[in-house]
Amino acid sequence: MYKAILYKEWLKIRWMVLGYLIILLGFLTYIGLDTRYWFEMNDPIQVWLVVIQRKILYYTAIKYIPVFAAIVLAIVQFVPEMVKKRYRLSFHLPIGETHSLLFMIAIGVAVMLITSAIYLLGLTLIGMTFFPAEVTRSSLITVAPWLLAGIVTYLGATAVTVDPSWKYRIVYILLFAPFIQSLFLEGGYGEYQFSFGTYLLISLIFSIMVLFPGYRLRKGSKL
Amino acid sequence: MENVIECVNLTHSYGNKLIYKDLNFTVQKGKIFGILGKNGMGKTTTINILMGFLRPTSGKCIILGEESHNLSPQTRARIGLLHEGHVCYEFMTVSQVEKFYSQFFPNWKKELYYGLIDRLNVAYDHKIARMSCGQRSQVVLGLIMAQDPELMILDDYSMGLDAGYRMLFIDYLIDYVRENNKTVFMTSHIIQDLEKIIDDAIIMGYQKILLQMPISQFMGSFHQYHFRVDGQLPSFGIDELVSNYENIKNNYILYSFKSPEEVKGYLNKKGVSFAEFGEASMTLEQAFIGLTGKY
Repeated sequence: MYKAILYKEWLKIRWMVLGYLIILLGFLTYIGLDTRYWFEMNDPIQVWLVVIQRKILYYTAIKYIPVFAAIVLAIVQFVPEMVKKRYRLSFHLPIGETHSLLFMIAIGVAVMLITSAIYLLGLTLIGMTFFPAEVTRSSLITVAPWLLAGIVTYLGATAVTVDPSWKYRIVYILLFAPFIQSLFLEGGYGEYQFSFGTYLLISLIFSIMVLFPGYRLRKGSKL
Repeated sequence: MENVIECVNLTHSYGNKLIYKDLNFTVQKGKIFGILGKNGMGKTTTINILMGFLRPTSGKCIILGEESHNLSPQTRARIGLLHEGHVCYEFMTVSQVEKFYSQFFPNWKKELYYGLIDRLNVAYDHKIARMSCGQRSQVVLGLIMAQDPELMILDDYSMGLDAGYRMLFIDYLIDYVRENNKTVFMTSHIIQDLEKIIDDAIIMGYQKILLQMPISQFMGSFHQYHFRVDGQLPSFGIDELVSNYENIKNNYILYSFKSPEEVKGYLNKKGVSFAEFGEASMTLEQAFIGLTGKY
């Protein structure tokens, strides 16, 4: 049964995922080429000063991509379920509604995790090519909140899409948006190094919240 | 006989607006049961409660032994649902949707689905979103039949279908249901179609059930009388004898479950001077309008 749900979700998101992968690899390629261009056109000491002393992050091009991708993913995955009340088709399948919804969300989270891993891998390769290990390590710590923001955005966008009431949708936006925004407040390298664990914990609480709109939908709540 | 659906003291309201109160009805195994009512009488609400998408304000509906709003996955597998508007996964193709559903139901009958699809002359890789409403209705019916459910709940199957597809749908449905001894609970806004399908019916009025009986009994016992009134035009109350009436000038049509003699006696007792008294035959649709009124 879960294989069938995976099949359905894949049919919905496959083109989006493919597009996202192309964009993601495109941006990573751009960052790699752009960094090489820096080194070729400037004195290495000059580059070092810009990157380290002036805290100019060489990978900010990807900063908001996970968040935008997460919104698109949630829309692509859940709007077809909501249009014409198609969620009723899922709720009537001989599988627990909560399990079914959780599995669908898990697929979306898996997409965000896999793409996050590709980001990290790409940045590791770029970092190791041009910079010392410390800079590479620091870059991974710096982008981690952006990637986490992508996952939390996916959960928030899912809650907003799935809930049948505008009142609750606004509540979710008011809850999720400040938290997501707080993951983009860095001014340099690795500034979330010591608070990232707390952010991760709060994100887990947000992930439980996403079940609430599903429950309301199942019970036919409109208000 | 075993009851597949049993609704007891069903009451529902949206906020302060009461839809109906203390509805009681049962659907027996192997019967095709129709729920008839004008717009806003609570048909969709009842269907939503039966489908488990709405929890009644009070009372309960038992379906295949379980409360409708808390059906186990095993029981859901025994119920085939047709949603109003033939809702299905339109982003899938004809074969993809079959592949998807087949993994949920152990008694899946693939040949029934493709038997219906082959009549439509559409390719298996045809996307459902690009199908006409009529074609989509056949896809949905094919999926329900392939599921091989004990109970089929069909919410306004006729919506958006032209006469040809309606007939095709009904012909397939009747053949399948009779051959396999299935129980069906259905609504349709085209009442004339239901006449040849349903065994039992409930007719819903404002906040209550007006009647529940086998459709043959209803059609055999509900009468339309017409007569001309000479003199002062009377008005009638809706009571045990008069189910409904209407008049255009001095020509009256009166609907009643009583015999011609009883109605004539009633008119005489009220001092109505009438002539040209007669009875007209009715279709189910006319009888339905006769009972519930045009407005």
